[in-house]
Amino acid sequence: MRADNARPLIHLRDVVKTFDTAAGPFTALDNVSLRIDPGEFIAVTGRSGSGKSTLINMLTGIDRPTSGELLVCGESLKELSENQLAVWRGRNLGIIFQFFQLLPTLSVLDNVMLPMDFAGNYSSRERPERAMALLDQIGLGDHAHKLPSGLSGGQQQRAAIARALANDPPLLVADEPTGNLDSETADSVFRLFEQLVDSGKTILMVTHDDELAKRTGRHIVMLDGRIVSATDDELVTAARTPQPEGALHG
Amino acid sequence: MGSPRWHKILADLRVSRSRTILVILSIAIGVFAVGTMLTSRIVLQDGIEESFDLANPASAVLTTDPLEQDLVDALRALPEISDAEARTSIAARLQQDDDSWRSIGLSAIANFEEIQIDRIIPESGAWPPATGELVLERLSADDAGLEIGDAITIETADGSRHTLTVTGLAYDPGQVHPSIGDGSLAGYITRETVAYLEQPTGFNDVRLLAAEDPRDLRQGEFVAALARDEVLEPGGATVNRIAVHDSPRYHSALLGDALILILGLLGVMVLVLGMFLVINTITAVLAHQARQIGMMKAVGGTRGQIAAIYLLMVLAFGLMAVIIAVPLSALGASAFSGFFGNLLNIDVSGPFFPPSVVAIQLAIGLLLPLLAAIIPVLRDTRITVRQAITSYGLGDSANPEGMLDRFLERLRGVPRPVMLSLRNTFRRRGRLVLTLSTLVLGGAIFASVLTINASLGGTFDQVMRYTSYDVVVSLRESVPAETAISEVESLPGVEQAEGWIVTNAARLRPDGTQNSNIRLTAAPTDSDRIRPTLLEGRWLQPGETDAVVINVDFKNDEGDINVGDTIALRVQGQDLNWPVVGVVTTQLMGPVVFAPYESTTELLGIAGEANQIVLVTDTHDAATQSSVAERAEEQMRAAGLPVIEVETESAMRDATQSIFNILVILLLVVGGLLVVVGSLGLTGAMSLNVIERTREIGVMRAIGASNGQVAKIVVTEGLVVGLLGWLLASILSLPMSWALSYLIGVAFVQSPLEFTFSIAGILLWLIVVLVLSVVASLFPARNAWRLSVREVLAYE
Repeated sequence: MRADNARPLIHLRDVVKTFDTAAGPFTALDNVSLRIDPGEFIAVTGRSGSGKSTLINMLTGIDRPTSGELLVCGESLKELSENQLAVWRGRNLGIIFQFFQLLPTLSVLDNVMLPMDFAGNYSSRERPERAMALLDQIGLGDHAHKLPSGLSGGQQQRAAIARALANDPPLLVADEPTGNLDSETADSVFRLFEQLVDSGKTILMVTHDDELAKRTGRHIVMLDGRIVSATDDELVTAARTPQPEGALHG
Repeated sequence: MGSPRWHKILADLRVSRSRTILVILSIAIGVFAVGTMLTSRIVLQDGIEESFDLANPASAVLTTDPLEQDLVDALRALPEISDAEARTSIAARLQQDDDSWRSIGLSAIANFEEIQIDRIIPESGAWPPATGELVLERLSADDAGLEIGDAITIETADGSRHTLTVTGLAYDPGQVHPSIGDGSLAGYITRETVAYLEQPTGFNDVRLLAAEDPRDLRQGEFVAALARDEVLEPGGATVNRIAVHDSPRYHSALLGDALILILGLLGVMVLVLGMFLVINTITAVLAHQARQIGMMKAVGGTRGQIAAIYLLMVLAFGLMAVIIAVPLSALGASAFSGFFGNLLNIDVSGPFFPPSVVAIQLAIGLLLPLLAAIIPVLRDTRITVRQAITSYGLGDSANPEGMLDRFLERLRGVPRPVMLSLRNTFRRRGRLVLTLSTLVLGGAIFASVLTINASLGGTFDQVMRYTSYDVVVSLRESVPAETAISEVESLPGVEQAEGWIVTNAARLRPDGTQNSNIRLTAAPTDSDRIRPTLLEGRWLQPGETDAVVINVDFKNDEGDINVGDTIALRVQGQDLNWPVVGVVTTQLMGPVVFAPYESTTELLGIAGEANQIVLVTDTHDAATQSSVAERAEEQMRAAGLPVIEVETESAMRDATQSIFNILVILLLVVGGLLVVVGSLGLTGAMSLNVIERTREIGVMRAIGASNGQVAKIVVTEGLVVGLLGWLLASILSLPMSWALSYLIGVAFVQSPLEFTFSIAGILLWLIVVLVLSVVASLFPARNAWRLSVREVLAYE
């Protein structure tokens, strides 16, 4: 799946993230290095507190590393201001949250149009057409004018996926996208992800569901702020003991 | 299809309807108050200006002994005087339906068709009236309940009575409503009717128009002195009084200015209060939507784009407020200026949408809220995506090691829910400061309004305390005081009688000009019937002969007199020099100088004479005063004494009270408005406090708190905030109300009001605060506990 000569979409080298807590400094990411190429579908798993969320916060520019190199979609995120990060996110990546995080007062269609509006992508006539097309694509065309509160959890997550796709970003980052859904709905969301990967998108998904993780192209396991990786159950289990250095699966 | 950002603004406005209405109302009330005041000011000033133009008011009015047309013609010939007209003025009384008597000033005009100075405009009925007929000023007719066709009984100073028929109504722009004037009615008759009333037909009221700058006070004084010295006195006429800018029209213009000042000040305060509510609301909205802000940033929204959403929301608040307030303020200005137009006797005709005022309203309605919101918006849209998705909101500034927390730690025996309320109250200090600012400002303004009200009452009492007699009898000329006193002191109910001299005086300024508007009051130096409040220096000492005390109006009018200076006065043709030993408060009757009776009468060559007899009655009620007044008048007339007028203290009190009442009514209206805005602010601040904690309420219920327990915690917190706000408001209201009393006093009575702090005001505000704290906390809390725990925890 990986083309060694292609430019990586994500490249982390020796990334450390330390938080100051009341109990003293806490290292959430400990010298993490990672390379992700365009078109990959990656699952990140690990126990609570293993650093999964911190990792995706780094990749999405939501948080900044304490040290280390971080290149995402060709941009060194360390160099960007908060505002530049917001603009960069709008153009380069879509984020999908566990609790959907749709704006409650906007219709589903408006929610999908919002990133285009912010980024100034597409003409104002094209935006509703594109948003409708995305909603049709994920089977929510009939619900476009409803408020998020009128949709089921699965539908809200689909709407959130449509929103993430609004500006046609190369990278989608999903934080436990199925964590709040029943297994059937979770499966349908996962299938949608597979279709998106087939169409050329890169998806990085944090999940607690090992079954789903196994169905991705690459499965990264995190433990105590480090990356271990596995493709089968034994390795995952083995990785639950401390490892010297996060290894890249490739 | 519009932009989703617009949709978000509209949806947020719609979803939080009560909050939207609250903020819009707060801004609207401020914009309304400012617009009403500014428009009324323009309309009233235009009206006053028009009435001046219509009237062509005299530069000076000289009251003389009867004189003939040749002297008036001689005045016209002076190059400094562009025109002169004379009338015959008769002070009389009119019998009302209930047999009581009311003062009426009758002006006999030689040629009704050619009045050039102080013009009178016919409105209905006869013009000019025939002999035995009377044209009434329109407001006099209205106030006395008289109509065309009514026959009235008139009693002149000599006691003779005649019947006149009202045959017409006229508009005299120089008159104001009797309730804010001296209470006297105004009527117009021909010189033939003067003869019919058996009065001297000579002119005694000379009106002059200065050739240069006829409305200038100094020009008025100049031509009046010139007319007296060059024409009238050399021609054998006696000038008894000179009045420059001493008409009700001029006085009412000052009253109007004081009213506009008060309302303008309070309008601005209402607006400031509204701005606090905007800051409060927008801060709460931002705190409440912290997660949404984070989400918008996560999907590519820049801080500028997101700030624009919230600033546009504020602009929408302002726009809706302006749409409501601008037409309402036109209505308000129409009602307000109509009410005062009637009192000031001016026809108000607008404009009720002056472009300058609408522009100011747009500016304050749209820009002020934006300015108020800009800091919270810029501050709170700085939140990062991580902060937004990992926090419950903004402004968690609790410092667990703070002094207050250590104090709360040490509190023993406080139930845990109450402790939770106390901790909650002080947890978000920034939020608390904002909430308190609104409460404190609202409460302080409210208490200040009631304090101004009480201070006006105090000042009124001070004015009324100035003299302590029950009845005053004015005589046309001075008579031996003992003769007059002997006629009345033995009347039943009379305890004491004293003779004074009250006359007109002119100050001879060092530059040669004169101020002829001064009233000289000479009472015995040992009299305890006169008790003015001293502002500077001292009062006259018993037996003192060479000293005077002036009032603050005198001091302010002249500007160059201090205690210790010697002033030159011309009194009844005599030039007198007196050192000023003190300055006293106003008596609401313009500049007054108080001189010792004994030396004044001696210097004027009327030793032992008096032209005013003041009586003290054994009981001081209105009925006793009236009956003593009636008997004293009868007795003195019977003895041939030239009685002009008999007034009772209660009647004078009523007349003064009516002027104060106008201010008081206005203050109460503004006070009511403030209660509304203050309550809105309080309700808003409290509700937002609770709404912000909806998630926390869910957590409390999840761990077993009943609705009652939640209510108790929330209401206790509301009460703590309310009481703290009330306490601070009470403290702030002291300097604030002192400053306002000072400003209003200086504008209205030329000196600070007699400061009387209104305890009732702060107690009333306490009740408002307690009730609203409970209501405003309970309703949002009830909404919160109606949500399921799951809903609340997912609450956004």
